[in-house]
Amino acid sequence: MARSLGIHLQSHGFDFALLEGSAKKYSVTKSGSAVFRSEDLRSTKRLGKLIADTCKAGKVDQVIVTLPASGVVMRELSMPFNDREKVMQVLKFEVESELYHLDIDDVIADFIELNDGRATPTLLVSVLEKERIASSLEVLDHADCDPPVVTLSHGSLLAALNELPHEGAEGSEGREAYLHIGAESSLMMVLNGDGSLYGVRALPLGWLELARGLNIEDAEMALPESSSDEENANEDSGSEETPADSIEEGADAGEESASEEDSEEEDEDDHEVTIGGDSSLPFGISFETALELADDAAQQGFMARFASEVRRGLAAMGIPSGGSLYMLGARIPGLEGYLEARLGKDIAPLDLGQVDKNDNVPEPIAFGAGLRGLGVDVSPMNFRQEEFRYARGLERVEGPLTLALVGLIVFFAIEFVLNFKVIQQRQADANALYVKAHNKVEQINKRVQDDEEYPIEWIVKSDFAGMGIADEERIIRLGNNVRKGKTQLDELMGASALEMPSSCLEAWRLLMTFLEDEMASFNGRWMIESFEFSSVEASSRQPAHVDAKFGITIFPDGSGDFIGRFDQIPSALNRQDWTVGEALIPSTESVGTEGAKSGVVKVKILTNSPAITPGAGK
Amino acid sequence: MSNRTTLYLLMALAAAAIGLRMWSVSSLATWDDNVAVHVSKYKAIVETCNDLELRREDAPKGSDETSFRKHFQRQAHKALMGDVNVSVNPLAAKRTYADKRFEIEFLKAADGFSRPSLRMFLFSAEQKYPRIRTTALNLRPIGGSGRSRGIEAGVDREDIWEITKLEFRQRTPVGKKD
Repeated sequence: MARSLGIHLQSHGFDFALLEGSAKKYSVTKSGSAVFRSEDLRSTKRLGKLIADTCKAGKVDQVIVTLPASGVVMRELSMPFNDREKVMQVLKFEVESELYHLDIDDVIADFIELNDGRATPTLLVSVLEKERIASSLEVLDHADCDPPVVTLSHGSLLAALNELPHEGAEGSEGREAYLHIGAESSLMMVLNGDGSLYGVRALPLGWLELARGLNIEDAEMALPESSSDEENANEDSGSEETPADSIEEGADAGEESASEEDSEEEDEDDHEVTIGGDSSLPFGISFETALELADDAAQQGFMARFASEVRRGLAAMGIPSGGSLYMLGARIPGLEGYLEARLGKDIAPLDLGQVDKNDNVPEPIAFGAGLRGLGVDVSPMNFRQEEFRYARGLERVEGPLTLALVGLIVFFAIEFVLNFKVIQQRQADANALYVKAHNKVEQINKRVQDDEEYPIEWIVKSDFAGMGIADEERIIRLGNNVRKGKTQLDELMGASALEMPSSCLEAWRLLMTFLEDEMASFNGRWMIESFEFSSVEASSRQPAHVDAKFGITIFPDGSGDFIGRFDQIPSALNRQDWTVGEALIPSTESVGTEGAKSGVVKVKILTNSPAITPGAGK
Repeated sequence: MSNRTTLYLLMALAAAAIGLRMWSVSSLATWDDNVAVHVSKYKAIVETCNDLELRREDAPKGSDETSFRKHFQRQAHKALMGDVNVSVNPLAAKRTYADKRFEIEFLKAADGFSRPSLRMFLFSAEQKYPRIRTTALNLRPIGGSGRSRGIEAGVDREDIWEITKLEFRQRTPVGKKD
């Protein structure tokens, strides 16, 4: 449930109304008002504290501030269009010629559309001095309040009046005039039968005129007419709050700073309040006090002047005599009868039908402001423009955020550029390596092409153009193709897992190594007469081997002893790992004249043994 | 352009800058990896090419008779053993392999060969052609006259040998093309 606080901030006091609910269904939770003493206006801090102390609204979702229309330049402009966005673009330019006494740069203008029956839209333009806006916002800032909308009293009164049923027809028939009596000024508003705005006049007279010249300045400040009980306020203070939305915190802060206030220390943030109004009117006087202090002559004088102002206003708006005039705001005894007699109209007090929890009637303009906070958008006027534009969370950090973003962009951009340069270098390096590898492959390919003996299948594919292969993938493909070439050659040269025939060469090597070792200790001469090697395939009875048969002649040594060598050779052969079966010397025979003997040795040699490596030596 | 618009524009630019930065960091990491891959692949390619270059030099360039003859002839020439006649005889295929038998006849066989020449020829013939083994080798010495017939045992002679029989066999797995 949304909570909206409407504040009608004037030069001599303020009114507030706290509403809860939505635009369609709401209730007034709290309302009240307070008057300012003259010293209150010397300090924006003090005034802010006073507002916070008086409202004690707790957490609110919206704060809408309404400033009095008195002192505001109001002009009616006819425009060929009424689109708000377009109008706002030209509004200051259009109204500049009317502001001969003001610098256009020192004011903010906004408008509300009138329904006066003309063919072209008529805009009621209000021009508010920036100084008043700035001062008002400063005061509210000291109440820990940052209102997103600053409007004028006629906009808020229109919102309040629109809560009344309007079933009349559009046009002159059914027009109703409303008169709101404020403290220092009053507001006359005429609505068409359908509730649309016909005209507005700000009257420079309020009930404070009753006390003019009474020399009672700084009389005892009137207590707030109404305020919620302390318990309610305390309950509110217990809720979660954000500083910007809470004016209760402002109250607490104000209490804490009471001693500072007493010491009247100068504060750089503190200024005199310049929210306009008639400073010749007495301060610190409540409506009741003013009535009490004003004598009959003063009251009669006020009523006469007031009636004249009202008549002039009605005449200026072209409202004929007769009909009704509804009165809101302060009710001055005898004024209604006086006006009825002077204006020829039926004067009737108007009750908006709203009361707060303490049965207090909310001030209509503050109530209308509160309605706007709930979403009743009858008057879109908002003077928080230009330098006063309401800044939300994001906008508050726009500056630092922009700076941070620029820094971030620059940092990342520089890093990106540096990385990009390094990437380019990496690409160049990778490309150079690929080119060198490619050239190497082309070199062996050229050999294949140049030599007719080389089979053309040995060319390694190295051209990847038009194959859609990414640059970084080319070297991988090239490597794969080279590896295929190696595998191809390995398959060509390799023995695979196939058992190969036993090698006679290997058998010869084994045999010769054996004989050289065996005969190394023999001092006599010996010679090989013949070799016969024949490879034999494996069978069920024996493994693959080489049948070796060699003739050997042994001569006696110096002592004539060689007997036994022919027995030692077979037995030594039988001890070899590679011998299969039994080595034999079937017979020996004497040869020559030196007593030499010759024999043929038969042995089966295993060359495919794991311990034997074919072709391991010559 | 309003402050808000500027802010939104900057936010968009910052988002784009962050995106670009992330892309560049990721891309840089990718290219660092790519360069590492290129370096390792380059080394592997160069080493493999060098290996291929060397091995192809001696590798058989074909599987026809001419290729075999060239191979044995080349090895004989390198071992200074003169010309050879090579007869190629395919043998009946077995279950897992098929053999080819090569009978080698040296034109200068009668002059004989030293054992180092013989070993060099046999070694090269086996090693430089795939899946070839010496399956028959008969040697007998040659006498001082250069004639081997009728030489008596125990008679001194030079270390020169006559090859009376030399056969090689190449074994190829069934289904494998040389």
